[in-house]
Amino acid sequence: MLFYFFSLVVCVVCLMDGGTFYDFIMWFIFLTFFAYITRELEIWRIIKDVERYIILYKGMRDKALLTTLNAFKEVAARSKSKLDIKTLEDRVMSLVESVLIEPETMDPYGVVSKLKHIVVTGEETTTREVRRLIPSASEVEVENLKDLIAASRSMNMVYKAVDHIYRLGRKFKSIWLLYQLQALLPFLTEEMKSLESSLEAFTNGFPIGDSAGPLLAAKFIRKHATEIRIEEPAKETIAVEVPFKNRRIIVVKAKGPSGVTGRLDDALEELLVKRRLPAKLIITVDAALKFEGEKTGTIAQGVGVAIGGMGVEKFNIEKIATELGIPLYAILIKMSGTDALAIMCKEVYEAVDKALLIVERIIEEYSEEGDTIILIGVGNTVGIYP
Amino acid sequence: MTADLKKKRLQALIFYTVLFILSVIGIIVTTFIGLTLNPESPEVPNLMVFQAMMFILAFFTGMEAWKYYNIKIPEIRLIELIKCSGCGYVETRMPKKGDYVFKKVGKCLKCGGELYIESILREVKNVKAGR
Repeated sequence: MLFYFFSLVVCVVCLMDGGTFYDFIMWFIFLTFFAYITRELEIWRIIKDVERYIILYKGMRDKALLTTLNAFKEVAARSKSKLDIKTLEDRVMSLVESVLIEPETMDPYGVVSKLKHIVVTGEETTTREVRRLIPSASEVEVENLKDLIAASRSMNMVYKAVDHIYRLGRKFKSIWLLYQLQALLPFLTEEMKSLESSLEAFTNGFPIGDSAGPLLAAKFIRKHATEIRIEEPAKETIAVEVPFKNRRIIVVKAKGPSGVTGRLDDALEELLVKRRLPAKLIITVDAALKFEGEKTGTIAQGVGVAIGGMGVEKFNIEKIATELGIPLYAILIKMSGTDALAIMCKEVYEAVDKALLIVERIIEEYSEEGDTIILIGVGNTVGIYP
Repeated sequence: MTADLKKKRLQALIFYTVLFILSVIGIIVTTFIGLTLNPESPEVPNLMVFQAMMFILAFFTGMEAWKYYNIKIPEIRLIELIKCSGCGYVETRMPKKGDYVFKKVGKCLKCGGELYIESILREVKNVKAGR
């Protein structure tokens, strides 16, 4: 609108300057065409920019699929399983394309337990599918293959969503849709890079940045336990009793060295509600996303439950702690999204040692001798045992 | 991965540098031609347009070459730290598939203590990478 007003002003000035009506029309057409072509050029530029990213995402997604397929073939060859390559490819693709439908929240009452049920069902289904494909695969191999499938699934979803919005924007020449997509691309690229960097770690079973919490828990066990007695209060989750400065520390973490995050809320329920352990403190240690200006390995302390994911475990732990009146302390080890999913970097490893000292200080300062304290190492425990 | 990225960076750097040099040569040549021409000659405006295009090309190729020159490709190295629980002897090696932290890997040759994997790490150099 403003542009047309400006064009009219230019044309009137042209007329007043001694120009003919023909000059007026020519100026008007020229300026209108200029406005049109500028907009078209802008759309073309955004489309080209988005296309570049889509090609990049497609390459990353294909690499993830190839890595997952190769990992399946390798495990099958190692365990001497007979496997039809075509069937394997079809089954892996169907696993990657599978979806998790979130529960209906029109009536939010009980939504957390419904969500948990769906998540658990999804996990068990994937385990069953992987086992069906390679029956002789070990537990660690199955979990690592599941992680590879999860990474490929996320990358596939990002690629498809971006491609969908791009196609719509192009079809309707909607510059605003394309602008919004373009604005989101840096964040999505970071996510894709993070997922891509996780492939190497899950293929080899090496610890990732997110394993900082379980690594701290394992280090605490090895540093202070005189005898390591491992028990499994919940599926894929272990608890070890460790004496520390005349206190009883129950260290809870996912069971390694496979790539699992465990069922920490179930373990806590078993320990605190069913076994009625008189805990005075719950400390959670987890990896957290840093801001762009922060350094990887920065440690932050706070209160609450340091745990990511869909929020089910966080909700359940908060619920148990609130009902029993147990204070919640949290320690966060900051890192970028890429560092969180790539093989653990030196800065994170050094931060774990520093965080361990902080945990020991918190236990000493916030509890009395004879108290029972729960220390939870939150995160994926790939490549860490116990 | 790193070698592949380095190769791509070098290719782009060479391409844009060559284009930059060619456009600079174009500017110098057109300047000399312009100096030999009569200012009233009808070829002067065409030469000026060509020279302006050469300037624009030199500017953009120079910018691109500078961008690729400044890109630092991160060098990633994996390290596995093996430690003796008895004497504290430490050695490093490349991690093997299936290794995990606190895995027992044998006996110490110095004291006969237990050797275990203390850490599996990723060391990154030239962290500041381009887009």
